[in-house]
Amino acid sequence: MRPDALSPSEIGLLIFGMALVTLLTRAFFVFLGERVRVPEIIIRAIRYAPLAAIVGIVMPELLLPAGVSEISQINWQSPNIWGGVAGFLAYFWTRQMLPTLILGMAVFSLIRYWL
Amino acid sequence: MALHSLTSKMPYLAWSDQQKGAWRAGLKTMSRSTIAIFSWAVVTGLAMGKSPLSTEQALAMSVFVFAGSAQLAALPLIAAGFSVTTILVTAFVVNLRFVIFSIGVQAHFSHLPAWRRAILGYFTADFGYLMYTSRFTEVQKIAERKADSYYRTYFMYGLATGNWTIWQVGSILGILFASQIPDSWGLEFAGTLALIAVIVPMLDHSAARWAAIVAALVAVLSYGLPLKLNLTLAILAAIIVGMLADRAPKAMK
Repeated sequence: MRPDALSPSEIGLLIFGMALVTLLTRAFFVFLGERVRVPEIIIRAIRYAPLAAIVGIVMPELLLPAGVSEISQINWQSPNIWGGVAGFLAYFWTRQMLPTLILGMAVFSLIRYWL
Repeated sequence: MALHSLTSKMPYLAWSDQQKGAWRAGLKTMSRSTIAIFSWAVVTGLAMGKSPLSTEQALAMSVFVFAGSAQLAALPLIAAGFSVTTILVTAFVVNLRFVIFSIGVQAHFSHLPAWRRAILGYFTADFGYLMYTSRFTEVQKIAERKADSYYRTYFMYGLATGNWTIWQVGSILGILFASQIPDSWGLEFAGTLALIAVIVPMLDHSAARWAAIVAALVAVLSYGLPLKLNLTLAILAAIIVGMLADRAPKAMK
């Protein structure tokens, strides 16, 4: 054990604190109260926020290999890129989850193990 | 009699048939994303199981914190011996996107008492908010909510129940079997592929496609930033696209 490692009670405190952080962030504007109406224009403005969050998780995962933080280090032979393209095409044609997974994983594994 | 007075206060059992139906519809909608949520949950569980946390600590973190990206950000900091305060601040910044989502939770569920809204907010993770807002974009007037016996609220309860349950099952399995599984077997990539199947149907109009393209560019170009700030920047960029789309409706239809 490292000398500066967190003690079990500190880990307990951390878990409690992180649960509070989840509550605080996910309910941040909820504490405005019943009578506060959110203007329509703001609701419209944030309508693509969840889409952007998911796209923002997926795209770096597809384009940037693990441990890489810059776009200049992109590797065009990476299994993620071509597996992602295959999955996208499979979904585009079939509109179903299963072919997307199968084709995407097949291309991903092929490049990963045989190239 | 005693039993009846007890069950009449319990969630679900005390609800009207219409509300039960709404809850089940929400659960069913969320179940279509089972593969995406489950694979990310297992990957997160594996990371926790391999971390310096004990099994009990990892399980407690999974069940109570219920925020995968914040948990993944915390693990290396715990391993490196950073202070509790530093890790909490990190978790807050990593969770910034939820602060934006909470505006929507406030607007759609303003009829609920504050403590219920707060609890509902706590259980509204990425998938719950995404599924709800892609089905119900416009905020109902209070009279409309009453008129359909709060269908959307119970639908949201169903989404949250599904999201939490699928996540916890995957996460707990990952924690418990972490020592038997050497690496994630490309499971992480399966999760990414499943997300593609969630994203593509949402790109059905031009403004959404622009928002997605801009968010993708920003998220990739700013990936080097710490604390997942690239996600927050991608969301801010998509908000700007949304506002521009409303200003120039013709070009973005």
